[in-house]
Amino acid sequence: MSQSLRILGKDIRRLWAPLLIALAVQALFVFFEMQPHQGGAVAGLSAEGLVDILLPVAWWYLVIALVHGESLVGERQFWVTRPYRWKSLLAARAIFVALFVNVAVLVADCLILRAQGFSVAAHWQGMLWKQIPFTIAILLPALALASVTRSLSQVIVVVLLIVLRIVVDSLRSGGLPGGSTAVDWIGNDFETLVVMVVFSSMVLIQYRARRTWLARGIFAAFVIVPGVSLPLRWELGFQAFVKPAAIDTRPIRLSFDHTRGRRAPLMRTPVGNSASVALPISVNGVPDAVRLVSERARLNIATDTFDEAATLERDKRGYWETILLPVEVFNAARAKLVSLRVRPVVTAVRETEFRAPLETGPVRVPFVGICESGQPFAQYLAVTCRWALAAPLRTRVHADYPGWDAAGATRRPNEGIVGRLSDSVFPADLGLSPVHTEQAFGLAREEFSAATASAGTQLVFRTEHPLAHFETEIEMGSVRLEDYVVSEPDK
Amino acid sequence: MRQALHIFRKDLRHLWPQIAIVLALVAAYAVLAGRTSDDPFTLDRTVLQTWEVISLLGFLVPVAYAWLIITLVHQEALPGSRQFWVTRPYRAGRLIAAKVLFVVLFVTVSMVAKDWYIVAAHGFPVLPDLTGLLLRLAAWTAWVVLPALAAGVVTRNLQEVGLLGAGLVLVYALENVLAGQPFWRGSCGYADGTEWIRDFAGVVLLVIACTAIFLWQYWRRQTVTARVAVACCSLLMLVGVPLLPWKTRVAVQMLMTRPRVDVSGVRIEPDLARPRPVVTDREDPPEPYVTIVLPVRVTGLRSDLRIATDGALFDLYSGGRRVARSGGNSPSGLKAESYTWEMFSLDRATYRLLKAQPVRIKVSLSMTVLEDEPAVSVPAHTRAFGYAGSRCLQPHPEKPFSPIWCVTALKEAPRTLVAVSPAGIAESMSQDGTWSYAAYPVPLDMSPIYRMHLLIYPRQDGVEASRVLWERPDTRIILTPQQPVAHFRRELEFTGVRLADYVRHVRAELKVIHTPQ
Repeated sequence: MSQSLRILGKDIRRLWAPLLIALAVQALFVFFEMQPHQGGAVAGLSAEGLVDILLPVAWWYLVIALVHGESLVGERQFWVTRPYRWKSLLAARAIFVALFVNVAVLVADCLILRAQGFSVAAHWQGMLWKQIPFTIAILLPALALASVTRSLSQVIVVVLLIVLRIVVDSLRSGGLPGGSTAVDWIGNDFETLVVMVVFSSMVLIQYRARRTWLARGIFAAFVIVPGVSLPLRWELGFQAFVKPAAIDTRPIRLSFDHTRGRRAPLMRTPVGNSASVALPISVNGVPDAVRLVSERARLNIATDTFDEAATLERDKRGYWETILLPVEVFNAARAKLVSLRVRPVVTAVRETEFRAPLETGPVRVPFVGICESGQPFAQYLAVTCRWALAAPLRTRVHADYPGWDAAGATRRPNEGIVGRLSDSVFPADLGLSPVHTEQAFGLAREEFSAATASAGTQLVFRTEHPLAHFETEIEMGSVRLEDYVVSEPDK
Repeated sequence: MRQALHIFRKDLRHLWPQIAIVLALVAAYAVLAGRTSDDPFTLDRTVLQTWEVISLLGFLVPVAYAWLIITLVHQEALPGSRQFWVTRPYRAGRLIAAKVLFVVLFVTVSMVAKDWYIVAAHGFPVLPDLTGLLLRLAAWTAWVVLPALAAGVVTRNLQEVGLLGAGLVLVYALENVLAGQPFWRGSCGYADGTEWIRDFAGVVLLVIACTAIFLWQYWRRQTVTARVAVACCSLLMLVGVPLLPWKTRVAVQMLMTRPRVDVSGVRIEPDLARPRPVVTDREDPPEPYVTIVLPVRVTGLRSDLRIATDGALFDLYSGGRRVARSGGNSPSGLKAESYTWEMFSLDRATYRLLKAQPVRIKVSLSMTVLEDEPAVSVPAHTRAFGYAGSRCLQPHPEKPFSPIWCVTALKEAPRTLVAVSPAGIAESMSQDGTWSYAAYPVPLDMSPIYRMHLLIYPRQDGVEASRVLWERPDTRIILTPQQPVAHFRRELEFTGVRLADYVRHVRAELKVIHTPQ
């Protein structure tokens, strides 16, 4: 331990300049985050935007400089011939990072939470939990990368190569959006676990044995080989294990409803590569006050299979499963009678409602955070919400004025969505700031006029509480897609 | 020259991985930016994804350029006396020539190629706007290439560059916090037409200072002096240039532009006798500032001209002593009959202190006169049309009041007024296009493509009537380009003003709209 402390002392003396800069950037970040936010992106090259970029860079720089102080690559470093114990060296690194990054972040989180109107005492579990994904996702990769490189230049080469790989992937992608489910957090946490195992083993290999090529091989394989995702049924099983279903979903049946026609007039979009088809669905066996929602499905049409962001939602006429089809698949099948099989991942939710005046100062909205309305410019009202540590449950926000549910050119409900459909059991997400601000809802022009002209208009927040999750199958024989398409790209 | 080529070849061999990575990033940016849609607000997922990657690359490409240049200079690091090459027959001139050749080949040429490709991919010709291409090259050379060369010659390794960069960002952020004025914004948070002068001053400063530091260090290797010069230049650039007062910018603008109309007879006066707007002196805790609206009257301006406030400085005096100062601007052009107020913000504490007592307000205004050019009229339901060298797209012409996007390359579209005919459809006209008074307004983002967003607002008091009128087949959109024709300054003074009578609360507008119901 005394060797660790000696190395730590030496590192503090050697790295005082980057350490001071990292702490100064952290202090500036706290200053900016403590100011009132209106949500949305920071315009232009503002100092706040720069600090948001610089803070993770400063942490990475610090960690990399720390590890490169006793470089693990090569055989000609002075310290290799000294009685350095690898455990002492690694412990010194861990103490340094914990002291000057983790503790600094923890203190920063406390200050920001307090300034933004959240109780620190009520969020202490979340603040501590946040340190885990933060350490695994931000600090551990820097530690691992530094342990297999000799210089900052090598680190930059590796980082830019990873960016290029991401860019090439994005150039190749052009398929349908993949959608999400309320149990996605399990897959994401599994990926975080994989990251931890890979990077921890790289660090351990390097500190224990300095087998650089083995560690580099593991890293290269991790970057190049596509990640393995957990099977959906495992995710559903794990979700039921950590949070048992609140309702019995076995009696719930979904089937194609032949009696309803097209959901909305066909809209042609100037760009895009997919057609959107809203299929009427009849639902039986759902308990009262429970609603079904879905944002992902596996779709079989003829010989094609797509895993996509198909949505299941209910309106005044009933449930609709809206599927997306690549425009060439849609055009080939549009006028024919085709059979479809849709396997949506469904979440049963129960809604709670909260109301606030249209003009409101900061108000605590249950299950969301603190919300307020403001008028940033004429004929526009914005509702912004801020929440602490974890994204809130998905909440639909609207102003309750006559005609709100058929407003605007699209004649669809004018509502905003804040939060996400997730049944995560963890109290914090990864993020630079512990407080996140977002515009939840906006009223513009004629909708603004209608809402403000109606006396007593209120803001309505409807929060969806997940009760149970299941995968089901809807068989549809002889469907003419043309009869149900709601949007397609121009020819 | 042989020695220069020799060094160049050596650098090429050493730095080929860096060159390959930088060129790959630039190529990826060019390909993606060349594929972007004219309508950036489309909800198509692949397009949205492309924008995200473009934003990432838009940040990384300049960083990668700087990294390549700094690494190049560090091949023969200049600080210190123990480098191998100091004892070899290296001539400073040849070393410089080798480095410059490298930068020109792999940075300058790739910058030009990137712009050329993106412009051509969007279907615009490059050669007619060669000036724009060269101005962009000059700006990016001043912002990225020369500072990277200067940083490279005063540092030994990337760690030192990292510390230097982080220190500069900290200075910049602190200056923001203390002065409350970000670099790229105008005097009250909005851009005004004279900002190009600040950009130009920054470019000139960087070119002179960075070139001098670069040459000085190669010839003399006096690192301490060069480092002091870098620190001074950085401070000047980060603190001095952003704080260049708008009064100075306006003075330069007036010196550089010959007025095309006579503005000597234009008078701007207080109009305190006019009935005041409906205001409420209600406390609104979320807003830290209150807005004061002062009634003014303008005379002597030709009826076909408009005026825009480039900058306004408000000094408040109470008991013969200046008690507060505020600034503002309102770059939208207004006709004389519509230009009826000037407004400024006061922090709540000062307002509370002064609101009940009479104050004297001295106002210093810098104005620009705008002249309408011949208007372009297109049927309202046209999907695509051309306007002033730009390509315009109305993505959803079937939807009333759907926005229009106009795209140009290498030159910003002119300041444009949007109106709808017949009159009565639209509530108010909107304006977009360049706000710059520069002779050649060039887009200086990473992409040479400039997008203009033209908005049409329906009548607030009759949305359905507006919609019916919009759907008539003879409805037309009128686009009027505007040109600045003169700049002038005026001073005026308001006496005995009770601020509480002229305060405007944002939330009060909600109430005003409620009242007629």
